[in-house]
Amino acid sequence: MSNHLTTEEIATAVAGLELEAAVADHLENCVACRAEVADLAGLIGDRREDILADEPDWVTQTEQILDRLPTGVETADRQGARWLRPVLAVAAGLVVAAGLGILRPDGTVEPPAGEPSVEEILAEMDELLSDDSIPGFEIIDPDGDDLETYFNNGAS
Amino acid sequence: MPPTRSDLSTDDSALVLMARNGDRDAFGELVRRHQRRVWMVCRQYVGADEADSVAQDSLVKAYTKLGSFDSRAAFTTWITRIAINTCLDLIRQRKREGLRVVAADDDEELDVTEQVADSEIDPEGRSMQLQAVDRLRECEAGLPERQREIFRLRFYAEMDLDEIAASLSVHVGTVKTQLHRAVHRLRRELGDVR
Repeated sequence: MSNHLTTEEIATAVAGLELEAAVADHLENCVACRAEVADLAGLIGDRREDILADEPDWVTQTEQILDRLPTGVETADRQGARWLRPVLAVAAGLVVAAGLGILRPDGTVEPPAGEPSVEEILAEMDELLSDDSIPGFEIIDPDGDDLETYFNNGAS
Repeated sequence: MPPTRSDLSTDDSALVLMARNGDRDAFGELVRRHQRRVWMVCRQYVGADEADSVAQDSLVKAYTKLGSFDSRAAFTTWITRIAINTCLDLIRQRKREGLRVVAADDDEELDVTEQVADSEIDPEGRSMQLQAVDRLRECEAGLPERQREIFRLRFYAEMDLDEIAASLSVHVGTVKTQLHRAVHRLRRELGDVR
């Protein structure tokens, strides 16, 4: 490899990523390319030093953190048991409901005051379905005598 | 056999175990080992003014969550993730409140009398060095967010590629690609700065 490294290859070297063998060989033997990589890496290093100039006093920070620690550590068991809370809340609600007599022993549910019961709603549905006045839903022959006529499309 | 104090000199997992059982000194040792990394990470997200307090918040939060630390993972990766999440929570909260977090790229201009003082180089050389660093800061601020984030975690927080990937929950290939793009773009934009 006789040409100098491309910008992409310089970037790869500065980023510390894997170089192709030919690129690595060139870099090892070319002073100019090595200087280019070193310049950019050095500049980034200078910027890091600049940032580190702001760093706090570590001893003071440690003391402040230790002063702020709560008394207990939340254990994995306790963290993992969080899902139990809503389940227990629902269970507790059911126990209270049963205790207040809302739930009946036979498993049926007493409707809230002013609302129709399940039986009343079912009766209403039966009545609605038995109404054959709806166009297209007329009962053809409740006794089944007219079925042959129906299937023969009135031809016989 | 539970770890003893003499075991604690090298092993983070043993320190975590002790700290979980209420040993504050053990947690203090963990803080000493990782506080610089945590601060450096916070510095990249929330800027110099808030880095210290957010780093402290992150370490206190880590203490309260030690119970959920899975010792199969590296403690340093776990704590870094907590720091990043704490920073992002703060940034989101500030956005909701209509405030702005002064991120690292919004820092004030460098103070030439204090920053990057290298006594080995002459004043003219130092001035050029400062200009170059300032130019890098500007170019860095113009990088796409993900590239900038990865660039800073790699070079300023000195995290390795796998750690960055684990901390950001991305594939290591993504980290490599974004890092390369960031450095390439900076190289192009900086030109011959030194």
